[in-house]
Amino acid sequence: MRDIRREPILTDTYETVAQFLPAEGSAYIYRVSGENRSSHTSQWRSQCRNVQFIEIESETPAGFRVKGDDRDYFLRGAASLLTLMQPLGAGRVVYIDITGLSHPTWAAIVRGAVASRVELRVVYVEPNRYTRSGAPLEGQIYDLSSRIAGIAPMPGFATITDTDDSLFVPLLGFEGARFRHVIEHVQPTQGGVVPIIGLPGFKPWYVFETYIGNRTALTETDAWQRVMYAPANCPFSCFYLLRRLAEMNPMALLKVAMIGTKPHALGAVMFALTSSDRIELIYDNPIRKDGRTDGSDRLLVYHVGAITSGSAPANSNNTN
Amino acid sequence: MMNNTDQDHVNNLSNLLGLYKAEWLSGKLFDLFTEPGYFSELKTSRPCVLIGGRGTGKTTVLQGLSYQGQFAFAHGNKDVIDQWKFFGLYHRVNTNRVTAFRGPELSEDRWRAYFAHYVNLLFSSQLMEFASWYELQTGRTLAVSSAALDGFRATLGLKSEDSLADLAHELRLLTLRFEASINSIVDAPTQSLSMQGAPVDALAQALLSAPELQGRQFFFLIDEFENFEDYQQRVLNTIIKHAPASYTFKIGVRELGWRERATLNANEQLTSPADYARISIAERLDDARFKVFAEHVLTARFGNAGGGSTPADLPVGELLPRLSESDEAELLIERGEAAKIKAKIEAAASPDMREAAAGLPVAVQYFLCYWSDSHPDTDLADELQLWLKGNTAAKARFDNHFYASLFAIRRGKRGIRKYYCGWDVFLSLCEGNIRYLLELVHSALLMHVEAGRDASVPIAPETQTLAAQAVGRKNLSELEGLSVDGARLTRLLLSVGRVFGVLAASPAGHTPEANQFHLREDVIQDDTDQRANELLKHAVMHLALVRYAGSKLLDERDTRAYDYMIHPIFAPFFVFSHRKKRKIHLSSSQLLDLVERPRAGIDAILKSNNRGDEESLPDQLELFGEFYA
Repeated sequence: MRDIRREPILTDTYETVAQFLPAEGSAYIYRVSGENRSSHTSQWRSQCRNVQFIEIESETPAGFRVKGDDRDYFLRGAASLLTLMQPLGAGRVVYIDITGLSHPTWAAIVRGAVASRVELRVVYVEPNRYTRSGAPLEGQIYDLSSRIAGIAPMPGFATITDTDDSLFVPLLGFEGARFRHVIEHVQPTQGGVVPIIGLPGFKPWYVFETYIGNRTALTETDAWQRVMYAPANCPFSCFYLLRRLAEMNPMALLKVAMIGTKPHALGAVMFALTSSDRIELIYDNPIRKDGRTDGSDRLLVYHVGAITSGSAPANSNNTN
Repeated sequence: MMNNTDQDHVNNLSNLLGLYKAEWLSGKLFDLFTEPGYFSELKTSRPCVLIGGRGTGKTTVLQGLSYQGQFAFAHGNKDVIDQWKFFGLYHRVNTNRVTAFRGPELSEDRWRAYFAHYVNLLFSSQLMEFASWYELQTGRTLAVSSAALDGFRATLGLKSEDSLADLAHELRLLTLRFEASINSIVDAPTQSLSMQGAPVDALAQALLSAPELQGRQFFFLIDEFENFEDYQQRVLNTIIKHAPASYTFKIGVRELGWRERATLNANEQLTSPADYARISIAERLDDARFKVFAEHVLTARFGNAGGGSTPADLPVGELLPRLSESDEAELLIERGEAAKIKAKIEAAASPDMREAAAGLPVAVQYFLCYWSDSHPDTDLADELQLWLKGNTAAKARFDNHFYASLFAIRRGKRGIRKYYCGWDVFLSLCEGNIRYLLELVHSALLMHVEAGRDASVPIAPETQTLAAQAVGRKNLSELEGLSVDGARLTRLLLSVGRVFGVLAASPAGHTPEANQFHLREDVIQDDTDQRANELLKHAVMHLALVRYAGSKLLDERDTRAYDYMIHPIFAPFFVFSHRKKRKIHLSSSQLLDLVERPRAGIDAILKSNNRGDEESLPDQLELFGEFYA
């Protein structure tokens, strides 16, 4: 039987972005992207006291640049990331807003923050809605990615050691074509696929649309029989689920495909940072469409540092 | 509604035929292994390159050559190990591994050095794993002297002086440290790297110096070679070209997936037959051989069935009966339509021919009407007279055009517009692809059993056709996920499929069975040609299209030297002839328009072939109505 005391959900939930304010004395790392929900900082920034804002103004596959700073920060450079994080000071509350950042960038910054021993909190704003696609093919219900650049490890999270035994764990989203693409490359065994679907989804009906989008591949691999669920906006639930899967399959490497929600991907990254020898992250590098989402919904603050540093913060305002 | 027995049947069939990917078979792979004709050619001591599309059996064959496969074929009899002349070490190129060795942080030269080191670690680990397996299975310790291993230790800077197992452990730690350095490549670009190939040469030689292994050879079985980056292919080419006698390579690659033939020395190319034996599965498995191979594969699968009636009770030719063209015409012509044809024949026939004309098969009556309607230079009365008099030209016309005319019978109507049935037709639809064949037979059997029929009773033409349409649709929907260009390939296939579907449905007065295209050699200044060529390469590599060598073939990478056809597996879905027949000409820009402006692109090509696209879509294409709008 699961001991849920070992699985705290360390999330602060704000029904609107306007209700949130970063802690006094903290640092806040973010980027405004082509999605309007990523610009939410403008709604509350003027009310902040003593908060250091670090705006990432550009991202490349290998690095990023910060506004007002002429240095390049490299995703595959621990020392490079330390130059960003260390001046903030160990123990300082650092928010990383992943809403407008690409997976490779925020994952590398999260890794850098963990190494710098700051008190890490991750911020995520749910979209109000995703853009629907007029595309006729199954798996393309939503028009989220213009294309994919292809499978390549996220910088700093590459695995090159080979293993005989593995379990393929796709964190599913709406885009069935991406699921099929990772299946084609991972080539899991029949019975070796355990998909994780966001339930509840950001909206109540999203779970059905996830099934519709991924129906063919779920059927063909028989994976529909082994689907597991974690709330779409909860990295902790996803993290614990991965931990349980690893415990249930002690000899297997979890090959986790991050093709679903950002909070689920965060759960996978948290697991990679705490159990790097048990997980291989798989990412297909989608090229996002501008305006792929519309509006903003709930804002969530995840006390990630509690997991990645091995202890929960005493003053966490748990919602569960 | 299915009862439990029916459901058992369905499950049994799915276990028999539904596992059509090598990776799904796991333990059953070697039980169900069917040796293709070219298998023995792969056992020679020189490099071989096995070229074939997705689903042609490359993985199964390469895994069959592995020491695990060979051991499974011997049913675990350990005595056979001493008789082996080679030890195959299988490795599938994993995109998520090899793409770690690229990025703007290092120059390609530096990445090349890192990648070569990775290959050294990888192959050395495989050799170590084999040594461990050998010792475990035979109970013998490989007598490799420490002196023989000195060279290997030196190449990687290893310290272990004791057993091979200790050395293997140190190698694993070295790999983990290397992984960490790759993940922080900007911080630690000076990682000490081994010289390309040196550790593998040294370790293979050391292991083969053991009395137990002397005189043998290692085969590195590299599957999915296309997943390597271009520069990585050059690194492997160099190793292949200069491999010592202690090991060689057997490469599995998709058509056009071997993009680089040069070694790291740009003036040095790998050529066949000097450097390697080229084995093209499509060329080796011609129609007759594929038929025999396919029958063996199905027999092996059916033979593995549990109790109950199975398709094994019936020869596959009888399980999948064909329709003659005449029978097919009679099935396609509705009763009302047949009456109209009959009336036209009666009206056109002169009194002395009326009885004979009325006695002609409906198929012939239909064809004579079809021909006379579409050719102003003749009329039905003349055509009837010629036919009844046994005119040779009239018979030749029937032979040459009747099949094409079948596509016009149900033009624009609901339901099946053309049948695709019969074992030989199923084989043709697959174009040598064994995975497609298993999918077709599986799908047809499932529909048959789900309709409450016994698995040992022949499958109706209608069921076979619907199954073939479903397999086409499934593979169309999979195409998008196959590659980063999947979305473009899907659009290309939908567009070209519709073009040939419309051409097929209105054959009268036109070249019959035009279902291929050739790229015209227009002179265009911009990058249109290059983009069209890239699109064609990807389409062939991912089986959206197949290509046939034209008359002036110079280089297999020269896209313009080929004629192209939609893979026949999609013919039932789009409703055109699966038979390799006649071609139309397209320009590069027309081809790109099919992807970038599908509606306009389709219309332009149809117009240049004197057709329009006014009629309704076949039922199975209606879901894509928005695409064609």
